[in-house]
Amino acid sequence: MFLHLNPQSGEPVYRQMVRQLKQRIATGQLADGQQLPSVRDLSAELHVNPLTVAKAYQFLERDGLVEFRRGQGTFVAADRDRFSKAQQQKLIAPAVAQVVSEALHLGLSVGQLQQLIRQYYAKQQS
Amino acid sequence: MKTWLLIKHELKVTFWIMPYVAFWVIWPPVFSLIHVGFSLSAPSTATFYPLIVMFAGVVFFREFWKNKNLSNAPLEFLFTLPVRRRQIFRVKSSLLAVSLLVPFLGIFAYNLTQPDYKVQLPYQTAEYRENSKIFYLGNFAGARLEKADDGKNENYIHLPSAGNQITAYNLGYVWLLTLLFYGATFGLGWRNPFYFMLFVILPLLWPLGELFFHERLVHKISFYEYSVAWLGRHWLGYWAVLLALTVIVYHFSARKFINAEVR
Amino acid sequence: MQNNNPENIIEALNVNRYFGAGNLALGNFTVSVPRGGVYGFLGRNGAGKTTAIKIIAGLLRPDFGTVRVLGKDPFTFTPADRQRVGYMSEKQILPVNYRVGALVKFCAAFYPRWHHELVAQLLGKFNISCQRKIGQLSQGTQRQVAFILALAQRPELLILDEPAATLDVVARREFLDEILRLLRDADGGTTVFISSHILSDIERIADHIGIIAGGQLIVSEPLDDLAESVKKIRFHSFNNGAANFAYPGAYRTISGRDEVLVTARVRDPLTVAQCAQRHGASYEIQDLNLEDIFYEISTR
Repeated sequence: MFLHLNPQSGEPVYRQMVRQLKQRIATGQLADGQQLPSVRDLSAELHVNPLTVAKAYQFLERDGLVEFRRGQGTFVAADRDRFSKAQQQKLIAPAVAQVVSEALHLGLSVGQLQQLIRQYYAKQQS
Repeated sequence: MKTWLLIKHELKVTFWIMPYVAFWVIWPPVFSLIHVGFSLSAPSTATFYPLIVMFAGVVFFREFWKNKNLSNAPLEFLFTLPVRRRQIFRVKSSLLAVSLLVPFLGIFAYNLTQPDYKVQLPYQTAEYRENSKIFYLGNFAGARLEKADDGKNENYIHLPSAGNQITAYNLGYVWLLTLLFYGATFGLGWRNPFYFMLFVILPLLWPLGELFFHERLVHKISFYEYSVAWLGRHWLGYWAVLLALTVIVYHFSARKFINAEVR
Repeated sequence: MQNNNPENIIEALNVNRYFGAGNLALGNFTVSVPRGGVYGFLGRNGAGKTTAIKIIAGLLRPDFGTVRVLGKDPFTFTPADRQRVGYMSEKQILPVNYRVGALVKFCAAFYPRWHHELVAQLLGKFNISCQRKIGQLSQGTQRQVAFILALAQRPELLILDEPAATLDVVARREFLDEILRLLRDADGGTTVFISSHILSDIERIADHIGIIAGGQLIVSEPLDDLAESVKKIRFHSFNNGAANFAYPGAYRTISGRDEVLVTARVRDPLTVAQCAQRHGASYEIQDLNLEDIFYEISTR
């Protein structure tokens, strides 16, 4: 699994992993019930400390996104709750903040920005 | 066996072993060619032994200072191997002891085959001659007078066992110096200035000894000869003291080595 | 010893160590290294790092205080204890007139669990010939040999003092990979105690960080906690000007005309928001990597 990790970015590696894995689960790249690589394999692939991978998996489990099956491994939770509204908003908040900031900078109004967003929604959903 | 591995290791890393062995294989035969007699009136090889030890001491001292160790393998490496320090010390000190003994065993064997030491009695004064004759005859086993054929007043004394006595004396002397070297190194520490002075003071022993040697009657007997003779009269005490000192210095050095810190 | 927690593979308590005439190399030095991870031991030159490492490795004795490695005093380690601890010195300490192959054979005889295949594999990977004498190898290659010798012991504790110091970029990555491989294979049974100036390396593999300064350990915590709490905060757009602005407990404060740059511990983002609100300012929080954090802490 190719995760893009930058140990020197200042963001802890496990957080980068959690973020990217959450995204892949949310966008369906990791299907429900799919098995994730073992801590050992993933740490070998990504060249990171196995404890970091273990920590990332723990955080995902805590948030209900993955589950440990004894003797089998780690799997994307099949019957997990879809992201709660609060979680969804939290995930997308940084991107929105950036767009809003740039829009303000360029002098766009809320309405103009909303129109732009609606256009893109329509385009991508088709 | 770990001990055997350590021995091999010490031999491999002890930089001075090969030159040392080479020296002691070559020197005795060379010495026999330039052997010029017993007394110190002419430079005797007997004085070279202490000088060699001094020189060796300075060389060892320099390496010791650098590596805290008589080899070029840093102690840090040995001390982090799974080996008891006591075992390392035992191997090192045994090798050193054997190295010291070997040349003397060689010389000893050589002396067994060598022609007698021959000493010419002084002929300036009858009294000097008489006293020297008494000295040699009294202190060296098997000493006998030899008269020149043509009746001239030149007498020689044969000292058939002198070679062995000299060897034993030199061995003991070098052994003593080595004990002193080890004791001072572990006791004073290599940074102590007095330690370094030791190797300047020691070579002055013989000349100083001559200065304070008052047996003026035995005019031509040197301090060195007198010491060898004295040894001949006190074998047991000499070796007993040497043995006791060896045990003391060994335990003292071992304790220091085991508690040595690697900075 | 009071804190003899078996979960800690190294424990030092109030260690003092003097050098020469009253120079204090370590004073009240205390560290606890948990089992089964990578502990990055950082410090500037002269801060007492190598002294601490040598005491932990059992080469020096503390003048005061206690040290316990694997539960015992490391200076009095038995050979059986030494077989569990691998050590790589900052200096080159391998005997120089040994050939690589002969040195490997020599060391292997002292370790019953010697990993012969790993040695052969790594010598091949690093392209080191068994026939060359240690003294003829380059500095970097000598370090690689020392590293291989330490790894092959399959140690429970691996103590590395500036191990990657003279290695090139590729060699360093390979070296880090081997440490990671050791961790994976040991599955929690190996602890790595590594000291390095190359903080980007440490950032890749360490899970715990200790920073020593002036002979004392001033920071000891998980790397993630450190990274998540030490931040740079830029306060700007003050209502009443940036004068008289102070962030309590900041490592560094740089004031500009209408903005203030603060480096500080942010345990709770709310504190920052409240502070900004109090002064009528906006703020941005910037992440810092380990090198920045170390710099800020060491030069406060």
